[in-house]
Amino acid sequence: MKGVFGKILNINCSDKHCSEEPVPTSVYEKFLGGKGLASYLLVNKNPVGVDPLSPANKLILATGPANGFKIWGANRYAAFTKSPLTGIYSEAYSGGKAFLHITKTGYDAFVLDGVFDEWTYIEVDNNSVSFKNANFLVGKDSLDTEKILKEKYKEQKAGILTIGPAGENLVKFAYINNDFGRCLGRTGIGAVMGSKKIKAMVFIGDQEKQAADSEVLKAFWKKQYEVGIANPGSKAYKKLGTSMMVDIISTVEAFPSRYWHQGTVPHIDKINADALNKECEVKSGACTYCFIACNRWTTVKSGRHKGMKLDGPEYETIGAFGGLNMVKDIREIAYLNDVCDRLGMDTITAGNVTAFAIEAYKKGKTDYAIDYGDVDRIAELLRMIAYREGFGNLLAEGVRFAAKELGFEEMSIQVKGLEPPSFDPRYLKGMGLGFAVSDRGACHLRTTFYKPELAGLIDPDKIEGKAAMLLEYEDRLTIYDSLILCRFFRDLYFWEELNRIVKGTFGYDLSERDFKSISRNIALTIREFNLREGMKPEEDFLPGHFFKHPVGKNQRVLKEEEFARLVRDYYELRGYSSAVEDNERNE
Amino acid sequence: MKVKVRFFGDLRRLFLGKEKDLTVDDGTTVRELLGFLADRPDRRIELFPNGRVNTHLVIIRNGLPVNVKGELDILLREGDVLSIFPYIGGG
Ligand code: SF4
Repeated sequence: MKGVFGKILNINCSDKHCSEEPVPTSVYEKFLGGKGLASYLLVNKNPVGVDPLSPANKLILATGPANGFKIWGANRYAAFTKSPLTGIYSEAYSGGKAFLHITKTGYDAFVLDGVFDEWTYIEVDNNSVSFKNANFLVGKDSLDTEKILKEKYKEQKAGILTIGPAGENLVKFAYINNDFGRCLGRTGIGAVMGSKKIKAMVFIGDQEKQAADSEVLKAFWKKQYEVGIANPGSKAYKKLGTSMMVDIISTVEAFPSRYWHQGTVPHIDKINADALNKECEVKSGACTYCFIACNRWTTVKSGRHKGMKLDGPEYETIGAFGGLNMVKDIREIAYLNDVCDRLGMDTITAGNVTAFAIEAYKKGKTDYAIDYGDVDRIAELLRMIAYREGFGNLLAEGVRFAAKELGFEEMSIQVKGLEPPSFDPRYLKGMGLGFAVSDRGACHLRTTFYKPELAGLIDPDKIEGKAAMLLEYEDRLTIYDSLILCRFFRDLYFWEELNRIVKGTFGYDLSERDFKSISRNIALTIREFNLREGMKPEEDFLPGHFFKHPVGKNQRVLKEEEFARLVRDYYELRGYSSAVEDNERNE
Repeated sequence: MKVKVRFFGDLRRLFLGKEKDLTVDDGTTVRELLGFLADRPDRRIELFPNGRVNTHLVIIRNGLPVNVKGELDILLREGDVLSIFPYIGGG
């Protein structure tokens, strides 16, 4: 086949048996690859109702049809499984350079099953797989683990994936690291890797895919560079990175602060992009095949963390700690970012969890004394979570579980168990709809709907027509995830450009309509998975807090009927049956 | 009437500061205001590349986004605060 290798590798950790499996062409036609292929595999291979941390839960790693070719922004790999945090469909994507090594092993996906007797790291060298004792890596943080393996494999070019203590200790929001701080961040995929006693994975390869039309790809490469470099977005990303969002979101008072009580913070000038560029030496960096270069390679210039180097902080981490936890100094946010990276956990959930703990203490629900902005206590709590010590053991389960245990469900801010990123849905109502209906819980990336709402393409308050516009974004970005392209090319790659990519790789000539029907196939497949794993359609909603408590100077609040209308519109357009019908079917 | 314009990102360097208070006539539109701001060639290029308004700009008027593709002819009101960002990306 052109564009893909047409096969996957099953790796059973229990009996160390590996088997190649061809994938029928019809599967690629219906689902493309990446997210599409992995969702198909997950539905078909994962046992129904499996415990996410049990050996039988499959961990699927995939690259997309675009990966491995010289295509700007085609620089990601992804993981899919049943999430230990949410109990439903789980996906996460990561940039950097690792994807290329994973692709070059010659498989479109890896399906990891079972559990090792002892801690192991897996080496995949083209079609040969070896299992190596990882006792010397156990207890090491995720970045040090990568460093040690990098040294070991310095002769070869290798892509290295690691987990930190959080993954080893099955923290429900542990992440998988690659390239020193890029990560498969959300939904606790690192805990699934830890549950299989896989401390790391090393990928080495030199397999090349065949392009259906390499002339098409060559022309696309040249043209997109010219178009892309002239786009003002490229300049802004390079200069400011995602931290440019801090001022925008705060200006409209949708920057969640003080654990979802405020829409901005008084110290915004101390944590925005300007503050980052002032307090730290920031170099821009890029994933392979990218001219945008939004990555921040940061060195703290002054203060108690002087000399600390890290990848970040990104907008979401600034929001989680600078907003939700009210940390008033970008250097301290960088520090907490580094703490999370090393422990190996998702900063979005981690920040939500510590802010939840602060709020719980203030309301007399716990006796772990901690206050907003108290960086050292927050850092200590993060360590307690990673090692599951004391109160940390409860918080390691995420907000949904902790809120239930503490009898503090009115502040259980999550959708289907996933804590939301830094966009307040009381203002950005379409983003709120995205949180409510996304297939992995409260996620901003499946639709990135803050963009049209803030660019004035649709009023944030407007209900009429909003679900239809959201679906446009979701459909297009589902194709991004199935080819596996970086989100930040969304202003450059529309249907026409996606057509070129598929034409050059697979050779298919797909219209907007064809793409949309593929997105729909994928959405319905994941829906089937989620319903079968026990998700209730009424969970396609937002926490009560957003309907009861107004935020900001303009006292914005969501109206329940209006929001229900958005969800209903979405259901109809997406082809989902209503909650009532689903419940009837289940009875 | 008086309006305030706040600048973000690289626009701060271009306009030599974080904000500007302006006095404009009644009936001034957002587009006309951008025209007043484009008082030097470098500012004009940023705000009106190719002679048309830069559609990558994000303009927030009193907390609500302005559709730069469609609503530039809305009238300003006394006390309006307009925040202008060069671009929205990330998340
Ligand atoms: S825009 Fe940023 S995240 Fe995306 S490929 Fe480029 S450097 Fe990587």
